[in-house]
Amino acid sequence: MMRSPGLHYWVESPHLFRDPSTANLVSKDLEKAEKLLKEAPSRKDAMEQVNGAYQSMYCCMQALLHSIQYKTTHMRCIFTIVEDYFIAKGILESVHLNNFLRGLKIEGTPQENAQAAEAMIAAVKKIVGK
Amino acid sequence: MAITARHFVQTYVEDFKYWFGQKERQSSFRNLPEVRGSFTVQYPEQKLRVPERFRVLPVLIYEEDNGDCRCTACGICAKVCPPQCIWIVQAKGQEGKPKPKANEFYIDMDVCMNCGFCSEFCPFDAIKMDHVFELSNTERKKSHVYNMQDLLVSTEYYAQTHPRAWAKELAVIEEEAKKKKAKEVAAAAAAKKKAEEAAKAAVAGDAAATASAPASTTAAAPAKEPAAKPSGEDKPQ
Repeated sequence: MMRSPGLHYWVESPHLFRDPSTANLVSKDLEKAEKLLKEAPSRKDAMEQVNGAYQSMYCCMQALLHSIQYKTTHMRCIFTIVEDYFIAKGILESVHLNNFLRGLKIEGTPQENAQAAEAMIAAVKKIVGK
Repeated sequence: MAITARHFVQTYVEDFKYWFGQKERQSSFRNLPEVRGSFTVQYPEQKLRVPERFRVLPVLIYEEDNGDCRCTACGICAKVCPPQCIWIVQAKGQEGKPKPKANEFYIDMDVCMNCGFCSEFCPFDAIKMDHVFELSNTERKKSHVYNMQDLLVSTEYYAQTHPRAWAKELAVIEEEAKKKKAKEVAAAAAAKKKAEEAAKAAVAGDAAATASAPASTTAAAPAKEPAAKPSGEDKPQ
């Protein structure tokens, strides 16, 4: 189902661009991720709680991208970079990406997603050294 | 002849302006939408900028700040799609009840005819037409059916490709926010007025009660007195 053959496609596409100013956003992204995860259980229903955990995981993904000074405007590009760069190099475990995908599809219980988001925040913090 | 002459002049207008120092030449000045005339573009090294309403294939929009997909899986796009190239699977809750989020979203790009009906009909502004037209590849089957990850682009990208539409959207959002705020202010003012009126009525009621309390005692006393008087008068009889 993949449209993109890999990182090369995205480097040439208008969706991925280098922005050195994004390095300052990493800590903000992580703060936002923690805040969203904290607020998630207080949301009105299970779907919203899962969505809150997904949003937290999304902020973690953004933090990862910003840590290498890149910015993207496409969801597939996020997946490709995390898979082809962070997971392929052994920096991040693939389970986090699977959990992110499950969150995007609103799958699993709120507790599972909250745990996944918590684990991802911890992993990303370790990677970016915050 | 006139048309040819016009094309000829238009082709060199930018050059004339540059030669006579009226305008600085930009590296990609031929890409500007206001440039007219006939000229050759060395594609694929050079590319013309496409107009804002140019439409190729649909994309889904997610919020840049939190990654939230706008799509609520209402299915209107799938219903209005003339060649029926959209499939949506709605997310389900723990009890099996459908939820307003898409679990799966597929568009078959070989079937899509780029009509833009889906984006026109979407009530949530979740599906828009993209500008990317270089989509050819050597694979025939799997890569032509786009799933949700392939389709999701951020609001930032949409703002870049569709600046006027985005500005309109922002204006509508601002107007709605203003209306909502005005409504809230009006509601708060009405509630305050009601509370004041209720307080006034309560004060008036209290005053009336305090005023009516001595009046009732004075009114009751004479009523008793005449009643007692005849009884007293009756007694001797």
